[in-house]
Amino acid sequence: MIESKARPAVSLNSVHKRYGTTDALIDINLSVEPGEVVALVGPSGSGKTTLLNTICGLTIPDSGEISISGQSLTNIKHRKTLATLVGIVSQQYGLIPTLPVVQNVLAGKLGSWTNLKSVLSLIWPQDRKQASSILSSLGLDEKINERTSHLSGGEQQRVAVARVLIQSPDVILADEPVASLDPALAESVMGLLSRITQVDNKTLILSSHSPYLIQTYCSRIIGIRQGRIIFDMPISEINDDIFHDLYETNQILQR
Amino acid sequence: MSIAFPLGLILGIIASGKIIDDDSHLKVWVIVPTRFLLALMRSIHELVWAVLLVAALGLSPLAAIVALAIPYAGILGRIYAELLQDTPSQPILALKSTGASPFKIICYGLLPLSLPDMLGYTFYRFECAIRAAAILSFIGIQGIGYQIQLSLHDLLFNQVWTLLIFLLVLIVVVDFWSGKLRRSLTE
Repeated sequence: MIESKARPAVSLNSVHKRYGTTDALIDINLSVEPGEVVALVGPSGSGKTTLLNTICGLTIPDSGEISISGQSLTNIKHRKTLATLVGIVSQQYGLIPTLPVVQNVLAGKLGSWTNLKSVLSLIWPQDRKQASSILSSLGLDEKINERTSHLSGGEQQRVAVARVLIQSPDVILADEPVASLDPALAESVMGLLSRITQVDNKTLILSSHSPYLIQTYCSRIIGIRQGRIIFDMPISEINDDIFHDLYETNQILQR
Repeated sequence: MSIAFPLGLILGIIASGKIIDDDSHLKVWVIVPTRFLLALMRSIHELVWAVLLVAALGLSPLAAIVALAIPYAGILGRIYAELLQDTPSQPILALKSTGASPFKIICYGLLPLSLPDMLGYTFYRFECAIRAAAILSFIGIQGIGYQIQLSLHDLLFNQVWTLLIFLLVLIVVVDFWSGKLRRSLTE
């Protein structure tokens, strides 16, 4: 595989996905360059989560082609190769409630660890310093040994963010990563994500319902409704009317 | 039980199908035979296994141990498979996306998620195994049941009572141990 800087970080070519009788994604064409911070917006059920899951290979599209950094997902045979390219913070966090926080964060390393190291880490957490520095940047360093189920929703969400940060893939996908956080925390977590994207030349694609956060931290905005991309523009061109249209027309359609 | 537990765990993990990708054609060829094996192991009662194994191995404690281990591994394996299938899929998907191998998914996802329930059931089965062991020794294998039988034949009822109280104490101790372990896991 030849690596090239000119290749888009993420590219989707006429991707379709159906669930039963409903079309979740219809003819999605998309290209995202390295370093971009892209916001996905759209009403609930519009296909944002399906799109993110498709990009990271958790959902297999019915047709169409997806590539990350120029490599087609269908050609990537090993999960650990994929994990260096793309990682996701899902809406439900996907944490293991019975494990301590540190273990859930270090789970981001499982792709690169050997089996022996993974088992050892359950007893003596490996790379603990790295985990604790990421947790402290998210304001969670005191909770490192706490059982994850004892944490609040907002704290668990930040643990999920910490896990993808320690995994450190080229493309970070985040499904409403700050939905459970208060405004101040939401802003600091968004700031951290966009800073890491810029400093390490990564790519960030996130979904959000907060126009303020999107306009502050994202460089590009993509609107989705009923599985179709409705608009795709630089953040400077967005205005309130476009937002309102995206959300309100949908309610009329449902009546 | 120390044979039945690991054996049941391994077979249960395989039979749950949680570590095999959904689209893999291996799925049918691995899961169905494993389930059949588990069914075969538990469909024959430990007493029947004991009679068969005494014929094969003689009146040795080994025969009793194997006779208990086989059906108990079958029962535990089936329950473990069901407990593992009931684990939420979201955390498992999240672990897959971090690049974790099936083995790591077991260690970091499946086991931590289902361990408290598994332990409770394993201890319950341990109790059953203690009772079954007493019964097995009625067919002539050395054990507490054999002692009870001897004492009964000699009409030494005080000995019979002592042995029965000993059985009770064993069960109470196991109960206490199980409660303690479970509490330490679930806090």
